[in-house]
Amino acid sequence: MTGVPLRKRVSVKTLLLVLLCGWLFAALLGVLLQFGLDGQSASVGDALLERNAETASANAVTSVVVSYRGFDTLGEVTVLFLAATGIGLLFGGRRPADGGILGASGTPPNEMVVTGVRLLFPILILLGVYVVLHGHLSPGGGFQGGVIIATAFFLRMLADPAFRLEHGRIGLLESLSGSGFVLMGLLGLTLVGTATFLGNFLPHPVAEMGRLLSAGVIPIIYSLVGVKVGAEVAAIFGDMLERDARQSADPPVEASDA
Amino acid sequence: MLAFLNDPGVLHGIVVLGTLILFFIGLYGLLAKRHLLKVLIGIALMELSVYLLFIGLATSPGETAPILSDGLRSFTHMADPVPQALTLTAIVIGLAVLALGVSLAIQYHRLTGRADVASLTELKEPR
Repeated sequence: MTGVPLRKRVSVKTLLLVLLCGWLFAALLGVLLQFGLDGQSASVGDALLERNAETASANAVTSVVVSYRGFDTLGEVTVLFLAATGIGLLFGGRRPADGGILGASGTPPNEMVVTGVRLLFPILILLGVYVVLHGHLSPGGGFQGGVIIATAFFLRMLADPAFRLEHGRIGLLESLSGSGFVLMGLLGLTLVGTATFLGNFLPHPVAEMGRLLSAGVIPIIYSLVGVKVGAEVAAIFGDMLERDARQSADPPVEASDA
Repeated sequence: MLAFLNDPGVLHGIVVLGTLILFFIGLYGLLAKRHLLKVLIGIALMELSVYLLFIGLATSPGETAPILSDGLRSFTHMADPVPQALTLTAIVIGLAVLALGVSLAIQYHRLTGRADVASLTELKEPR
């Protein structure tokens, strides 16, 4: 790579095109930014911040994600599910008999990885569960915590080739948490007087704000989101690693604490 | 010395410039690189710059994170929570879509042995 001169590595035409695009965009911004900035008195965020005490959630971002924009979150989790399904479809299908081009990596994981993962795995799981459960109190929540938990399982899969996620159990976890989310939304729709999807039907006194048990349904919904995101991202990682696991003839080890 | 950064106009200008540069670096990667994975990395860079722009523009100097902790008692002088929530969901979507794209690229490479965008000619009309 170092032997190639810089002129050969950079395609000048594309660079010029990109610079032209950038210049045009900056010029457009320069025109646009002269309008509308002085007339802006309040935004949706300000209004939501003013009302946020009614959700009794100390984290305003969480109350936007789970309560005010909860329906969007449901759609977003659906997109994640579809992507995970697509990846499963791509990697689960019939593969070439010779194992393909990528199937030749049969080296066992090295000792550092194995020992490190043995140390890190419980800590990562604990951190993930903490981040999920404190989503309404501190930065964090279902998405971040779910990804941390999935990372723990990914590291475990890297370190231990015999460790495999059980797809049936992952699917069950995913569908239970997904339908739990919808069920919570429908309960809010029927039980709350204002009849809003994902309405907060559990007691959520403002005085309790900042406690672990506060904000009514918000922590419950965020935990369900956390389980769902964790299961889906772990399934994505598992599908991508499966080629190694399927070729080794070891019996599958159950993911007992998935 | 850095007091001029407390002016929201200056800070937002820096954020816009930086994210624009990052965005166009991503665009260059998307257009100039020919390896499928590098193209996907370019797309991811462009996504990332948009997240940075949203978060950067939503916060003005002097505003805190929209979370009640460390002695804060009311939701005033806080950053706008809506762009943060949108970015939070967008990051997860971006991760999933990137994973889907990478697995498409891997599958294509596994089937054909190629990873060059210029050689993706399976569906091209014969001349």
